[in-house]
Amino acid sequence: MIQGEHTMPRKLGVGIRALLAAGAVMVFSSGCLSYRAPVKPPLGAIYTEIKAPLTVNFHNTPVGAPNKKYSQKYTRYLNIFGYVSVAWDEAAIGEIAREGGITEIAYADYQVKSILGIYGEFQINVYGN
Amino acid sequence: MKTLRTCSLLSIAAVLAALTGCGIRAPVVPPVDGAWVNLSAVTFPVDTDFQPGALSTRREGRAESMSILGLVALGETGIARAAENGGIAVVQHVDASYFNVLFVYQRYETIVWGLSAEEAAAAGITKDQAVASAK
Repeated sequence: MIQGEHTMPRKLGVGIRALLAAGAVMVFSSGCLSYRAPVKPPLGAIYTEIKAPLTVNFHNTPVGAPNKKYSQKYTRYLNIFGYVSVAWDEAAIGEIAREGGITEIAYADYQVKSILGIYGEFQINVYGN
Repeated sequence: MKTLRTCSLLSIAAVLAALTGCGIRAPVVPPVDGAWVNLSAVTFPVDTDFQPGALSTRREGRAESMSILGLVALGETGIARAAENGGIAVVQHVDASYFNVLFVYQRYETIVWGLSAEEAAAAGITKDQAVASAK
């Protein structure tokens, strides 16, 4: 009787831990952001905040002071364990350039922020005149 | 015992997280993601569209990001930051560098080559020419 009382909670405890571990693996597995870009540095499953080039062809491309930067568009997304994914908002370069008054685009880059791969923000930065 | 088991499970989760194929992406990537036991220190081109004679290797700017255990990634590897770090006003070419120790520590660097504003002016590259050639 005493032995049975101890066995049941222990089994429950192991089961809960296994579930938690499985949940952690699922979260971490979905933490690798599934976006495409020409350049993608190593990401983080728990937290990612990086900026990387979007333009990969440079021919005496001006950077710095002559250019102005405009970046207002985000694509936000929710990803539930890789099974349910919702994304919204806009990040098209044409719209960003038009809203920023940029008529000559020199180059572009992007930045990504992600928390556990569940919530993320994807932003395009356009540089030009 | 419980602590040991919990730590083991978390370790397995962390390893799985690191090995879920995040890796890196670029137009050209050497074979660096093929094994679980991975040590890499490579450089490779990002810009593959070359113009003859248009590369000065006197100035180099770098910007880096890092990923720890494949769990947390931070950094700014954008062109603007790399150019700023190298005092570059006109970008002629871009490379990258990737350093990896067993996925425990990964570092990605953008490497920018180009000219300062004075060098660009001396080379006769005006702002308008630079913008036109960038298109």
